[in-house]
Formats: sequence, structure tokens, C-alpha cells
Amino acid sequence: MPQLDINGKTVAVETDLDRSLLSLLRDDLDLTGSKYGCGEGQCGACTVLIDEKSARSCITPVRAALGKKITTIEGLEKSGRLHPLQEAFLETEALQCGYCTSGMIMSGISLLRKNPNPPREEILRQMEGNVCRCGDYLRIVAALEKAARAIKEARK
Amino acid sequence: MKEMNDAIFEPERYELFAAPRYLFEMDRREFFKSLGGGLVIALIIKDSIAQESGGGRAGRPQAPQEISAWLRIAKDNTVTVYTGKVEFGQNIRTSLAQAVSDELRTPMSNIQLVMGDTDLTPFDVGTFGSLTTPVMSEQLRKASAAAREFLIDLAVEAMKADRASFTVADGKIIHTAANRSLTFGHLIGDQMITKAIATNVATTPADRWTVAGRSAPKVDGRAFVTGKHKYTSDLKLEGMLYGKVLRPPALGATLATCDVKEAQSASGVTVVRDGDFIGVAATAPHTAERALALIRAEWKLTPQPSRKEIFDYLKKHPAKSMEGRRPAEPFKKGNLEEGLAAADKKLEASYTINYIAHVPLEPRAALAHWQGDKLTVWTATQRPFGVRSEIAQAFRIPDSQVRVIVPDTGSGYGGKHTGETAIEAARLARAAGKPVKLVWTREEEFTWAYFRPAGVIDIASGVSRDGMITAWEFHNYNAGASAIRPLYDITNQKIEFHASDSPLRQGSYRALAATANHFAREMHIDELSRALGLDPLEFRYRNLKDARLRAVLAAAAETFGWAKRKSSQGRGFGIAGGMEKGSYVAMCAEVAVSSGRVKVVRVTAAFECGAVVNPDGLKNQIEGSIVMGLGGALFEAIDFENGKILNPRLSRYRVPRFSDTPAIETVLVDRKDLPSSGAGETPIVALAPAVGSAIFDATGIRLRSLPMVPNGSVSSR
Amino acid sequence: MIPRGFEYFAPRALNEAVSLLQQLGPDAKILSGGQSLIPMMKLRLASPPYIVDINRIPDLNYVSEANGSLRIGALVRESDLEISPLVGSGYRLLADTTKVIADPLVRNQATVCGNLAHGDPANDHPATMLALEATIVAISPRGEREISIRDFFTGLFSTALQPDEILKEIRVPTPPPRSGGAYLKMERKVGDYATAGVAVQITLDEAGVCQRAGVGLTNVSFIPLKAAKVEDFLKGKPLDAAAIKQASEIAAAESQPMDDIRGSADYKRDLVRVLTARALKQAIDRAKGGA
Repeated sequence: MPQLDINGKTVAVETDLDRSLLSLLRDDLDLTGSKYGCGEGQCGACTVLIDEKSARSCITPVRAALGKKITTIEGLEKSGRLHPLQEAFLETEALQCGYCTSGMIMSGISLLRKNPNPPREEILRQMEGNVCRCGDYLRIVAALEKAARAIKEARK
Repeated sequence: MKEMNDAIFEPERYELFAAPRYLFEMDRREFFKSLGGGLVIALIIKDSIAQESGGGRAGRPQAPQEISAWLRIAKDNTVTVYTGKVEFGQNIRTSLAQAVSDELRTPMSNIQLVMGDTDLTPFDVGTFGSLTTPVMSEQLRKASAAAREFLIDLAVEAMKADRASFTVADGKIIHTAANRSLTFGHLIGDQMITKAIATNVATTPADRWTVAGRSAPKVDGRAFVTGKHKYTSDLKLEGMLYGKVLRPPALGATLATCDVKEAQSASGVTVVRDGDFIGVAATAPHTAERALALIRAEWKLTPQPSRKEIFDYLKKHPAKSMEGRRPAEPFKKGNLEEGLAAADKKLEASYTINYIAHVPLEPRAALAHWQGDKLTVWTATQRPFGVRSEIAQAFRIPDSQVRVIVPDTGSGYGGKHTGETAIEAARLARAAGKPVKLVWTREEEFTWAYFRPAGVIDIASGVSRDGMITAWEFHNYNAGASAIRPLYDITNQKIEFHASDSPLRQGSYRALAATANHFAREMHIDELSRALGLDPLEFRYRNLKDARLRAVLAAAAETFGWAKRKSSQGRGFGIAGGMEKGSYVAMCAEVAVSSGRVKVVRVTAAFECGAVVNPDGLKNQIEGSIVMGLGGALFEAIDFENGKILNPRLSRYRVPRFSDTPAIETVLVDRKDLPSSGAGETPIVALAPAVGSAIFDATGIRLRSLPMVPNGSVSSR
Repeated sequence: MIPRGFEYFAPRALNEAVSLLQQLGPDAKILSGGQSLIPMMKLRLASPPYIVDINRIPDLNYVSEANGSLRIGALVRESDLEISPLVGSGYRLLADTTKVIADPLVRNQATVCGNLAHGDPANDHPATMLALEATIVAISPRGEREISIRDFFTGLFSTALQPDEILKEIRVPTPPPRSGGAYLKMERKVGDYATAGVAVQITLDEAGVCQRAGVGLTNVSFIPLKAAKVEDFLKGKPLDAAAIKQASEIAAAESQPMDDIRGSADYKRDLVRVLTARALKQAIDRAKGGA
């Protein structure tokens, strides 16, 4: 039976493999932190990490994710401790309605893995695929900068 | 109260007057409810806005309408506050808790809000019109203050001490001299006390607030950053089915023929056909989609006006739907003809506004569950009680058989006042005999909700050589009447709103028509000032006595460095200001235009809404308004042709993104001497005219249509 | 919306993929990054009955230099190019292009080869590869063949690839010393297709005279456009301000834009003029060792 590796757990998949990864996560596995926003790869609310890179789960068929390491927002908290970017979102109040937040955080983590110290220009460019209708973009940038500093501190 | 009623009956809340979309057959049955123990304080409001609830079909709630808020203090010291308001990202769950914490002198962590649940919370007309902070916050303060005083009474009794010797802090009643304290819970014990109080309760003045007035972190922020918060679209019930509704190919289409046999024969699929409503429910979302694709339907289309002719159409077609309603009397002052005759310069200009969509990132969603004749619906709406009535009406059952619960929602901006998703889910659930969840697709959200109205605004004005406006004639066709009158001191005015027959379904939007009216008015003021060679700020000062608007204009200009600005080809500066819902805003904008491409570089906003409750939350609302406002100002427009929305997708409808965001500075003018007014809407009104003024400054091109640069470029128009 | 039904194949070897294509015929579609195909299928703008997913084929994800050219394998993602030091240092035009394609979420999945094989004149790599004089390596049951990029684009959404051929590799000639390139595009928003885009690659001699010029234009024609007249004009000329100005005007004349939601044809032609001048200036600076 096909299997997926989601947040470090192996999950057997008994479904139509042409379905979107997003639907599988939300409807079958109750991992509802990833959101539906547009269904056509425009808003980024469904962003997850596939092999450590951000990807839009709404346009990722389940079969494209087989054998790969998938991380969702639910997989970030480690023994009660939030990821530094999650902390930074809280500290900078980088959310209003919160619906875009998990996608923003996943995209942000992918960016920080690629570039642990991104200049502001780079953040704006790399986060362009995620939409926040409440308009918290500047706070999200601030959260990313804060998290980058926190990660650097923690490594010292 | 007068002003508040106006806020509720604003004519442009068209969605509240529309006829119900569906009407179903349904049985009647009674329904009961109860509250828990502890100390319950209920606030009785005479002449409450609730009693005159919401126009149209909103009426007949079962809850005691005269009670507008209640809170309960339990033995374990927890305070549960019940309010019919709902959280859409405007952060009132936090700011209302701050108000309660302040009056009850009890930590935020002890306070929990139950919001927008028609079985548990008091009747509420809806979360809109920026009324939560000025009205609900004050009412909760009164209930909290009454609870606090009553708890002191209990302490006086328990300790047989003088009332004046007690203070309240940290959730305890403290006898300072004896250094003894009793927790709220201890005083209440196992008693069940219900107290009704009137509105004449003294509350703490703003300059003595200790919790409110400072920034507070979002109370349940952690649930959002971990993905654990359950929005309506995330809910799941045992045995739940997934619903889909068959949509006509165009707005206004009616069903001609329909064959559902093939869909019906698919296993595990329930198909419903009830009038023009056709929908399916199935065990998995993809099964529902496939079943829907098996339905053969033919629709009868009706020819309709398209975007290219819309402005002409709106001017020529007065509203039929407003017939029989109070006609909008034109506002007149002085003598327009004399004012124009006295002018040294006259200016006539026409401004147009396209339809735009709210695009809440969470599309409309509902989960409906029938238990016998009792229906519970979780849905994302700004009007839980209004939607309860809509549902009750559709199924011909009493309101008391319907419970609407609104989980904290993925934004609305005025776009989620109506209950069609809830009704559709409930209809499917009734047929299937199981709970049904229905989540609209983005395309459905774009097509079958409602839009901010399109409109035309014609202004004719006169101005004297020394910069005094002598005449002001303002005709608004369909954009809406909010903030239609200027704060400028103009002797001769005629202002008229003309409701039109809108080809698209239109309704509320953040700040309603105040954005359109401010755009036209402030752009026109800008044109006049620049035509006279006067500084746009100076020109405003000459024509403006209103101290509060002058104050925000001055604050914005000061922080922005308005006096020191240096315009050049391709770099321009603009300013605009105004008032709506009792809050005052002014904005300065800097734009850079290169190869015709417009980039808003910097925006400074000064904002005054009386006493500030949560400064950081307020800043967040202002920043959000600026970013959202950029979309409608620069590039958002609904394109439609003969009843079809041509750009119902995010790949075709551009919303602001990271790179569109300017640097933003906000200045809060905190007036602790004035009551707090709402803040989620007003900041948006000044953005478009400030940017329009700056584009003119940079290019010499005057853009009089919203959006101003639909193709991303000034010269490509 | 979920796509209409289709049959799915995930071959484990290139020859297996090729023989599948042969069996399935022209209705089969290759899936690599899925960033164009999947949204089209979800919106039902495309409903291929057969999908051949090449993601499980090993050894197609490489970016390397060999025998005088840069080789890009069929499964190289845009984000791989973005972070490749080889590309960043030696192929600036390519690096420029990769950075402005769609958005980072797309770039993490989308493949460079897919961007070409889609045959969309609105995509960015076609113009760039035209300017770079790239070679396409296609594989079929008949073996491998090389296709010059000049002959690759044959129409709107159509290429020289036969129904049973897979785009296996792109080869970009390693630029000689004193070469420079740049890609500039104007888009209404990040993630939108270009309103217009210009790719320029030049080589100068020691005196600053243009030895070689490649110019490609994005989204101003039905078929990705190689601006041959501009190239001819530039060759053998010292690239001073007057030459740049004239070249940009030739490019504008050579473009064939249409009126659409992104702007009028006149506006786009003017954009081509402005962008060509800017890209040329930048390419010259880079050829001279500048940034």
C-alpha cells in the first residue's frame, strides 16, 4: 500500500492518488492547519514542506508526495516548544484572522532554511507566493527577521 | 442613538434587504435553553439597538432582546463573557477581554469569551458598522463594573466590614487594613445568583484604565500559529458528508431542465433538487464533486449589462429595489447658483468606482447538523442572529429551533453578512439525514457572494482666488451614502445619493461607500488646490474648522515630513483625510512611477478614534486597512459580462501582496477624553485619494477611476 | 475542483517513459514539476487522458558543466538553478530569469525543462534560451537527438518535440570571456505572466566591439521570439549609447504584441524598447566585469 511520511509518521494511503495532498491532509488525516484558499496555487494558504522545501499542497497530487518527507504546521511544535518563527509571529502580532498564518509560517521556514539571514528585499521576494488579506505583510516580515535572529542566537 | 440607528439602516447594506434565496418546507417545534450556575450578571438595555434589529428579515429573535450582554463568574474564578459579536480577525476577542479585565480587576487569563452562539449569547444585530468597540465594549464594562460592585457587597456581608475598606485587584476582594482577601469564586461558592442590572452603572474613565489602553497579545494566538484553531471549514462531525451545490452558468439564470438520475445512482451520494436549488452530499469531497459533474442541467439565461457599460447604466437606471423605501432627500445648504457665480474657478469632474470583491481568505463555509427538528449550524457569518432568522425563514421553522455558532473566522471585511452557505448546507443535511459540511470554492466565493457597489460620482464645484470653496454639488450614483457629506465648511452645497439598479449583487464592504465618497471628494479637493497652485494641505486648512480632522491632518503631515517633500518627475506626494463612523483619519503617501509602473513607497497614517483600547491591535487594523485599500485603489476590479464573472480566481483578480506593501508609519492620536469609536473600517477611506494625489504629483496624470492602474501601469490605460 | 479522470503512469527509467509515450500516443502528457499542468487540469483547462510522471526517473536532476556547455537535466527545479553557484557566477542571464519566474512556491517545484516544453510564449525561459543559443536534447525510441532552440518553438503551446519524445536535457553554451547577459521583465504582479520581457546575451572583443549577440523576447508574440534583426544590428558594432538606443527601437519594431488585459500593443512595444535598452546596458556592464 502506498505510504506517506507526514510529520515524521508513516501513514498508509488508501485513497485515489490523484486527489490533492491538501484534501488528504485535511479531510482524511484531520491535519486542518493547512488551508484551502484558492485551489489553483495562487494564495499559499495550503503551503507545506515537501523534502524541506515549500510547496503548495492544493496543486500537489498525493502521488507526487509518495516517498517524500512532508511537514505541515502541526509538525513544527517539538515537545511543547514552538518553532522560533511561530514564537516570532506571536511576538510581533503578525496575524489578524490567522487563516494565512500556517502557510506563511511554512513558506517562511523554507526561506530561512535556504537563507538563514535574508535581507528584507529577499524576504519580500521569497514570500510573494503567500497572500494575507488582512494586510499583515510588514509584521510577517518583522516576524521573519526576528526568527532569523533567534535561530542565529540559538546556534551560538 | 440616532447616529447608531443610521449606521444600521445605511441604505447600501443591500444584502440585508434582498429577498431570501431559498424557502423550504419545515415542521415546527419548541426549543429550550439554560445557563449554568455561579454569578450571572445580565445587562438590561432600554431603547437598545437590538430591539430595532437589523431591518428586512433579521427580526424575531427568541432571546430576551432587552438583555444585551451577560457574564458569568464561576466558583473556580473563571469569568465567562457572552456576546453575540464575532471575531473575524479584528481582534475583539482580545480587546473586549481587556475591557472586562479592567472593570473586574481580574487577570486576562481568567476571562473567556463565548461569542456568536445564538443559544448561549445575547441577541446581537451583527458585527459591522464599527459598533463593537463603542457599544459592546462599553456594555461589557457596565456588566463587569456591576459584578465587581456586587462582589464587594458579598464581601461586606461576609466580613461584616465597612464597604469603603475594600479594594478589588487581581480577581480578589481585598480588605486592605486587615490584609485579608477573598477570591471571587470563594464569595460566590455554590450559590446561583442571577442579577439584572440597568445601564446606569458607572464605568472606569479611560485615563484610569490599567489593562485597556495598552497593547495586549492576541488571547488565543497560539492556536493560530500551531494550526490548531478550528475555523468552520476545519470542523468535522461523526458521519459527516461533504456538500456541493450546482451553480448556474451565469447570475440570474433559472433552471430549465435537470436530470439528476446518473448522480443519484452513484453510491453514497444524496442528491437534492428543491426549486432552483440542486446539490449533492457525499462521503468524501471528491465523490461529491464527481457526482455533481454527473448532473445534466439546462439554464435559462437573461441578458444583462456588462462592465463596459456599467457606469452609463448606473446613471440611467434608478433602483427599482428601493421603491417604496424612504427616498434619499438631497442635502441642501445655502444657494448653489450663487456659490458658483461667486467662484473665480469652477471645476466639474466625474469619478467612477468599479465593483470589487472582499476575497476573505477563508471562503464561506457551513456545517449543518439536524437532531430531530433542531438544527445546529456552524458558519462563518458576521450576523449569527440574522442568519438564524434567514435559516428559520427558509425552512419555515421558528428561530428557536435553529442554533447558529460562529467559530472565529478567516476574515470577512463586510462580505459575510448573509447565510446562503448555511442554508445550503442545512438543506443538504436534512435530505441526507447526516451532518453536511459545505465549503465554497474560491470561484463560488467570487461569484455567488456580493460585491462592493460600483458607482459614479459627479462633482461640480467653485472656488475663490483666495482658496475658499464657494460651491459644492455632489451626485453619487449607486456607490452609497456613507460619508457623503464633507466636513469642509462650504456655504453652498447640494449633495444627493441616487440609488441605482445594480446588475451585480452588491452589499457591505469595509467602510462601505465612505471609500468611494472620500476618493471623489478628496481627489476633487486635490484638483482644486493644485489648480490654484496651493499646497493641498494648506487648501484644506483654509476650508476646514473641524478640530479633530485638522488634528489628524497635522499629525500625518508632521510625521511624514509633508513640508519638506521634494516632488520630481516620477516621484510624487499626496495627502487626504476624512471621517467615518466617528473616527478621523489622514494619510500622506509617496509614490514612485517608473515606466508607468506605480509603486506606493511610503504611507503615513494619523488616526483618532477617541480613547485607544489596544494600541498595537489598532495599529494592526490601520496597517491592514492600508494594504487592503491598495487593492481597490490601484488594481482590483470585478470584470463581468452578461451575468458572468470573468475573473473569479486569484490568478485573474489581483490582490495586494508582499511586494505591493509600502513602508507604513502610524500615528495614534489618543483622546482619552472622548469615547472610543470603532477602528476596523475608517482608515481605509483615505488611502485611495492620498495615492491618487501622489500619482498626479509624480506624473501630471489625474486618475478619476477606482482602480486607478488596473493594468499595473499609468500609461497603459 | 478535482481534475477529470485520467490514467497515470510513473515509469522508473527513461526508456520506459519513452516507450510509454509511444504506446499512449499524442494524448499523453508529461508531468514534471506540475506547476502549469496541475492547475490547468484542476480548472479543467486541460484534460489529458494519460499522464506520464517522470519524477521517479533517477539521474535527471543535475546542473553541470561539460564539453563547453552547461547541462540542465529534465528534473532540475527552478529553485535548484536559483541556488546553483555555477549558474550564479557563469550564467547571469539564466540566474536573472530563474529569479523572476512566478513565485518561490512555484519555483520550488517547477522544472526548467518543463518551462520550455510547455511552449508558452509567456514563459520566461524560452526568450532566455533563445538569447543563449541553447540546444535541446530530446529522447525517443529512436534514440537521442539535438534540436537547436531556433527550431524548437513551432507555434503557440507547440514545440518540435514529437509525441514520443521527452525533453531530457538543455545545453547552454558556456559564454566566452567578456560576455554578459541580463533578463528584465515587467509584470503586473509577481506570479503573473510578463507584460513583456527581454533577454539579452552579448560577447565583446577587447576593444568593446560586439562579437556576438542574442536577444529573446517574452510574451510579445504567439511563438517565443528571437529578435534576429536586433542581433544582426548589434554584431560588429561598438555598443555605445546611440547603438543601444537604435537596437531598442529595432526590438520594439520586431515585437508582435497584442492588446490584452496586460495593456495595449503600443504600450507593450514601448515596454520592449525600454527593457531592451536597460537589459543591454546591464549586459554590457557585466561583460566588462561589472555587476
